[in-house]
Amino acid sequence: MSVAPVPPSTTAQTDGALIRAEDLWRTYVMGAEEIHALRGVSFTIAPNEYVAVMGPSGSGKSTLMNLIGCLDTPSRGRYVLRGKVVSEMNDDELAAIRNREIGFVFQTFNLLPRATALHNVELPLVYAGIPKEERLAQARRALEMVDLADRMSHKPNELSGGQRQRVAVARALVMGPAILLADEPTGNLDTVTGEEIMGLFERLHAGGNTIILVTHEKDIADHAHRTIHIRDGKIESDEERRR
Amino acid sequence: MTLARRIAVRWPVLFAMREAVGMGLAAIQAYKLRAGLTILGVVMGIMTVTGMSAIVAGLNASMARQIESLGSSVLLLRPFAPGEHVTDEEWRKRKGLSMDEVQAIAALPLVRAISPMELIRVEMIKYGNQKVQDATILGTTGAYETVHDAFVQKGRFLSDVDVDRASPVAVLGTDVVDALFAGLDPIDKEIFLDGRRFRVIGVMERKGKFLFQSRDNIILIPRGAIQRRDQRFNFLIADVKPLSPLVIDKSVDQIREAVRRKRKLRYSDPDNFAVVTQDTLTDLYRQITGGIYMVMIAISSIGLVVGGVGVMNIMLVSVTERTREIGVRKALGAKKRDILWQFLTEAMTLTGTGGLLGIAIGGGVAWLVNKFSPFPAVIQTSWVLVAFGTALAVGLFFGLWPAAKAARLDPIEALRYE
Repeated sequence: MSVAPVPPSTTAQTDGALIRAEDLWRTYVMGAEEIHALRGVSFTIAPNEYVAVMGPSGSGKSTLMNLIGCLDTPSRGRYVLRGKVVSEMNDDELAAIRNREIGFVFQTFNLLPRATALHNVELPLVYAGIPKEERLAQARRALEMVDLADRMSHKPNELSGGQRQRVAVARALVMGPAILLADEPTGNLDTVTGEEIMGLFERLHAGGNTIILVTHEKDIADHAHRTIHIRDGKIESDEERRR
Repeated sequence: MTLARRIAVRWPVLFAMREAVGMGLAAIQAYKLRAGLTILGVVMGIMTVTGMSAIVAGLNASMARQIESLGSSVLLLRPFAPGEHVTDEEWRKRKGLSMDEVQAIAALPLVRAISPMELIRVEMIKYGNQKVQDATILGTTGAYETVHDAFVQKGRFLSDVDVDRASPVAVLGTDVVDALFAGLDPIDKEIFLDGRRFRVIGVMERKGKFLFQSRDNIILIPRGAIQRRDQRFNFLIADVKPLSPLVIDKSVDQIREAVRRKRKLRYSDPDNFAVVTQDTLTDLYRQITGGIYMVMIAISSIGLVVGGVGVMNIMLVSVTERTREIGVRKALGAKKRDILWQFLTEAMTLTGTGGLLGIAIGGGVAWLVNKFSPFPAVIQTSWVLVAFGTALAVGLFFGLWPAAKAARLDPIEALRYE
């Protein structure tokens, strides 16, 4: 990994930013060719923002999402999440950060098919090493928050698409993460159910959560209060919008 | 932070063990046939260990009892030691005892009694029209009673006079009596050994079996009553009773010295005879059971390796099928070792289940053997534990590669996997 050409500051950011991305590059080597998926992306996100990241396929949108979600580290640049320099972490430290600070919501829900809703929500708590009783109590609370108190012992195939995505949201929130990172959260849902999920996001945002929405649908992105457009690995526009 | 909490944070999967075990059991349930075939090898291997160790242990116990039942501390003087390897030339040169040697041994201070015996070959044993063919006929002396703790239940035993005169008299074992006399009183009846007439003077007490062979199918006659036809094939052997069980080793030394002196063996010559003690028999027996254990380990190893490779295969398939799940788990914060342990636990659940099945079947086999065959079988707790531990170890060993493969998956790739 090359050293980022920015002044080093290892201490926590004090300007109130939750996420600070400084000149992020991500380069893949394919044989002799180097492909730059990201070419110097910088932005900051403050607590309780509701941001949509938009861009066509191949724009570097997914690569940026992987970096924000701490699934990957940048080839160059610096990524600071809640005062921690994520871009210099190893695999296990990244896993711990994902566990505590990132709540993923996927397009295909990605619930464990053989486990109940409650057990699915419990999973991040298992990896955090939280004792059984505490785990169950927290998982129940998270499911109540998404109005699924009566579906706890159902398995994913006994739930509707919207209910599955709500279980996924409960799972994302159960550790009280810094950000909720949703990747096309309505992509596999019909319009009505999609709106229902977006309504839930609205509520969560109102409740103080920071939400980052990755999508290529303008209708969905319009729910957010700020939209970052990515094209060819760079930020094309970054605009605040009051609705 | 309490210790338990610290362990939980470092090894969360230890606390989620039930989940991983449950997942292993769920995998078995979901693919019953595949899982069943996979663990078949493990089942067979563990069954072999459990069943055979039970049978061997049972044999050991009954063998110890039977060797003791030979009579406490009887020494056997034989031309060859059991299991002794000799050259052809040596084989031809070996000979039995002479009466001179027998008398020399009888005179030793540590010897209480010596009973010389010669095996007499007889084609036909008859009483009236009743015939017996396979009875053992021994020419011996009155000391036989003392040495073997074998007494007559009826009539009398061979006396010194009988032996001196080589009288045609016989003492019968109960099997012979049953075969020839069928309810009649055999005393003073006359039987024919290859046409020679012998008067029955006594019936021995029932002795039971040794190594599944009856010890009551026997006829005792005075030594010399039937002359050996061919000296080369008839060895005079003897059983010796020492003064007490405490002086067995010393009496063995005395006997060896006496026979060696009589035979004028030089210091460097090895013994050309054998003094066999119960320890010798026990050692021999241990060698045999040692062999059985080797066979057992060989069979079970094959089963376990076959089963292990099967488990590796099923786990590799499982890792591929569940790539996406692994990606999700990593996204939710599972560390490499969490994934590693999850799959290791699943592999061990598979082989552990196979192990429990194998123990159950092996135990069942041992029970059946105990119930319906002459072999006694005793299930050995220690071997059952070893067997179960081995089953888990097989899961650990053969699950390592698939589990490491799962742990190494890149979360981004894994999440994208269809």
